[in-house]
Amino acid sequence: MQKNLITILFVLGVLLTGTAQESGSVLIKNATLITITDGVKEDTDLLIKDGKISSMGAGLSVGSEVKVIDAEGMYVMPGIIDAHSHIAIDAVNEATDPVTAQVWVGDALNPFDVNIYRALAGGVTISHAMHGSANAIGGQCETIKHRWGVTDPEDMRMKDAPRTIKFALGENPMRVHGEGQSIVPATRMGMEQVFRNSFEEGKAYATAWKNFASGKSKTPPQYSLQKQTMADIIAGDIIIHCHSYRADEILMLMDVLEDYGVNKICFQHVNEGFKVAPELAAFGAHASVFSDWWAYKFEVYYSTAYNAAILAKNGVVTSINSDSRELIRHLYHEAAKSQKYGGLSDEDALKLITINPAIQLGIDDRVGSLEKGKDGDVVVFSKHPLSIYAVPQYTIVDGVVRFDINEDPSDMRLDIDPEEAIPTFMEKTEHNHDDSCLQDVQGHFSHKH
Amino acid sequence: MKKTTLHLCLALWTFQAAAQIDYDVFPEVTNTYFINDVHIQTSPQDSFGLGDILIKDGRISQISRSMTAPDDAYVIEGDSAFVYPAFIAGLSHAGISKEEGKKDRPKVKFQGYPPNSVVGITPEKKAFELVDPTNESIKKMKSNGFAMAQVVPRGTLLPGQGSVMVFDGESNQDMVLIESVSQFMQMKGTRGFYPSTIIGVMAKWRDLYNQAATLSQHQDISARTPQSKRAKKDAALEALIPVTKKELPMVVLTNKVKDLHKALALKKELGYNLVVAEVQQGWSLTERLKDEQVTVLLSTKLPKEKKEDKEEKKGDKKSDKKDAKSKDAKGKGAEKMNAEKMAMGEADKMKDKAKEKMDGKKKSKADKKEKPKDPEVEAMKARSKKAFEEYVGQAAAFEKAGIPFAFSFLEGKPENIKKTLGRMMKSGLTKEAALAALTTNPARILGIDKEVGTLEKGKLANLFVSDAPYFDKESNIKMLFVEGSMTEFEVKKKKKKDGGEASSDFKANLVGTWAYEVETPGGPMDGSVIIKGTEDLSVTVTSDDDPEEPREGRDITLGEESISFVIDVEVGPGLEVPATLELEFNGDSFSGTVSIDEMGSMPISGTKSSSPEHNHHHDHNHKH
Repeated sequence: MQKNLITILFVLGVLLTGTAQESGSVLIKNATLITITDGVKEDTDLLIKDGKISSMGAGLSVGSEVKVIDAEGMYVMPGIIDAHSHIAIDAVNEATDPVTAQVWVGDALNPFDVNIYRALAGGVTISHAMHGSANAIGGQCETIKHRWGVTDPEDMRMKDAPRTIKFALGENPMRVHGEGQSIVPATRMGMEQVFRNSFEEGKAYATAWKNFASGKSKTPPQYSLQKQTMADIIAGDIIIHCHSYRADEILMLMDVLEDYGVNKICFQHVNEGFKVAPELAAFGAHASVFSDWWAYKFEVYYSTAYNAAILAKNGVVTSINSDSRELIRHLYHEAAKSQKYGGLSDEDALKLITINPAIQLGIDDRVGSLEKGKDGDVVVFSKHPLSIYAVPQYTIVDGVVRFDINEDPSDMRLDIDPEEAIPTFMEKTEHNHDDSCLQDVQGHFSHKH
Repeated sequence: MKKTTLHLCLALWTFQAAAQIDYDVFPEVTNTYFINDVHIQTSPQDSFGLGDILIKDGRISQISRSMTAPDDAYVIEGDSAFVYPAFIAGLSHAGISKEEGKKDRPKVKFQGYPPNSVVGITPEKKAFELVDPTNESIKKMKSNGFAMAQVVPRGTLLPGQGSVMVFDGESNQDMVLIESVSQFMQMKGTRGFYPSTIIGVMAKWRDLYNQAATLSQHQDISARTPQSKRAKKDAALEALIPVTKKELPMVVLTNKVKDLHKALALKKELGYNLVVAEVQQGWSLTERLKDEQVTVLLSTKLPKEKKEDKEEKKGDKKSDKKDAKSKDAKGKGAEKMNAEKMAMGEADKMKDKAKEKMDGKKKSKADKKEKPKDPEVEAMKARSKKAFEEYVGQAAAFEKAGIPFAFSFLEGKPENIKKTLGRMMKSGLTKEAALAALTTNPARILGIDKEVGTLEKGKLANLFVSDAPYFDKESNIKMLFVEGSMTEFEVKKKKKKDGGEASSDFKANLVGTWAYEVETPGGPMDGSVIIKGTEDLSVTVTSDDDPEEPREGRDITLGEESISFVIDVEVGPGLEVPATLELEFNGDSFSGTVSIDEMGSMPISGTKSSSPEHNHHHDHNHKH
């Protein structure tokens, strides 16, 4: 009880001071370091100084002001990165149009979402907050750091992370717009046209502004954030993350992108990726998959738990994602499943939730491995993270301990509604497998019988 | 309430074109008023003491200690009453009908490209054009001491421009002081159309803003370049050009801290002048608001006092009163108290005693039943209480931070202002800051501080007369002058003590069909609440999305002017959870919350749609 109150006061203190991007220093002693990019170092210390990994070695020491964690017998790995998530945002789908490239979930960040803290408890330090899959070209996404305790949405952003955007293929956009609105795209043929039209518009828009700048045309074209965004994709400023299942539509999108000179793409879900792994590798496309989740709708029946391993062994940069506020809490189990089925090495299995998603988000120069100079985002496990007995003990973001299993009060709310009734019991209202990709669009299905 | 009774009846017989005479309206006899012998609060800080005020032609002509009333003055015997500068609402919908700004829901083929009117983008509207001088809301504001307001249109995303209105005049033209003083924005989407969600709203606003800036650039080029491509007319975008040029500020509705962050981020990105309005949770951002020179309009809507807190308080009060009464009785009995009163006191005491006994019985029963307190629940309660205090203490926190704020009245009711100020002052707001927030601050914010806000020679005669110091619990506003025009108020009879039961009138009014709108994270949702019965009421709720699946209300509780009940709602395929609806009624409209455990609560509001056949099927998405 006493401990709880102290922690609550600490949290409130953070709330009141409205910390700017806070970084800290921590020394972790005598741990087994799983560096991901440079093997495993036993009985080694790791020092994070002012938010960055400053050294790894034996017998490191610091002044008394720096927090020291004795991690003897424990394992330290880079903070887990989830390349597909919808936590910490107040809106997921602007499901009113097949193309909403102009919207941005970074506008709806919610630092008070307790799922951030729960993800930290699963060792996840970064997630890719994505627009949903209702539209062919959905909104732009945001790469966030799980700095639980900050109240300014700005402080959640991973500054300078590349821009990303959600695309979606197949049934979801066809159902929402083709069936729901009786407009294109009603079929997979229509899907391709939506992409081509939008890229054409983006191209023409960029030319129109170029002509105005050069004086070739006297008056400015009408401003359009949507077309501007398409132009930015063509210019290579935005990484596409595309919701996809079937091999044929995956090949289709790569064809379209090739025609517009776009090559930054990560296919999401990509359950039939194993069928086109060599083609994905040749294109340089990435894949972010579930370990063993499928058959939740018709287009996702043909699938395998060997998907991640097949993709990885074919040279496709592959990650395992959650797409769920529940699954995000045990991505290390999901990585272990891929290892069990596909026979990946420990390192390759852990790459699926660290350096590989970092590459897919364009942030691998800063996170995803234990390297000097990288961000101090690490998680301390009680056992090897691929062991079913492993439990995260500390999750550290920028050198700040954001989760400590020994200081884990039950009431972690940051924003309290004074009129809210205090719940004395919790009713189970969440699905086990909530497809949050289609959050905010229930209304569009209400008449589908 | 009655308008000044001094009318020149002879005016009826003046020779004018008969057709143009409005026989119901009489001109005032005189434009000169003399209020003598009143305590004059000239500004939030300064009191003149006892003196006289001379009002002439709508302005304060003189404030003095020894003046004789001019011959043509209507003399008001002040009798040591208290005079204050009349209040100015920083933001309000006063005078605008609730029907105004309701969107039409035509069949729109493409949800992604609706006409502006469908999604509430009407920045070309000016509030004063929509003001009806006879609207009840203006009377309500006046009887609570308000002479002016910045009025903004009702609506959704960009309802229109704010106007500064003076609450005197027979037409909206008479009333308007400044036609356009701001552009009003609510970060609200329209369900089923673009923009429907907050991300759509933000993107749409960026589009509109940048389109307006580009249009302005185009217009300039066209003006100086003959034979260039014509800039097409667009009333909505043209109305936004002054914002891009920083000639008009954006007034943005920002209840919660997240809304404030959004508004601040957009200001930083687009660079316009910002006024944040209806702020309820801004205390952690005072420094930033100050640094970024943001104008602040705090909400007058405070969290409701919890039942148990109220009861606790009431309990305290009761015992206080009892003590006072018994002391009183003793004291007075020793003096020259009349027998009748004494007897009444005794009767009261007996009643109290009887009640005490009953309370005692109840209590002992409750004590027996009481379970040991759950420390986890107690800790949560303590945090709720702290949050409650932070909300109520917001105004004091802004005062401490040195931010000269005004108040907005889109959500809080002007008739509660004194009570609300009382709660804020209990949390540390000073009397001076409270008055400033209703007088000098809004005057400065609206750029009219040379004309109004204080009682000074030459300023508009906007003032009210209170029979006791304003902040006294028992004070009443007796009279209001707006631009020198007088309105008198009947002093209200004591209202029934709260906690009372629902009156039969209220119950009768409840029965019928009410159209509601819930603000869900996915945009607004519509439907009907149908209330039937006489003694025991039954409640049925339907949704426009699924009119064939009505939900029966249970656990119905009636309050004095409120009702609460529980229905099951579907939150996913085959997944139903109980939702508690708490509705507070105000005549033919209501507002309240829909609360679902784990999901939090959503605002709900609605109006009575008298005809039971009113179920308008404006579902845009019908297909089976």
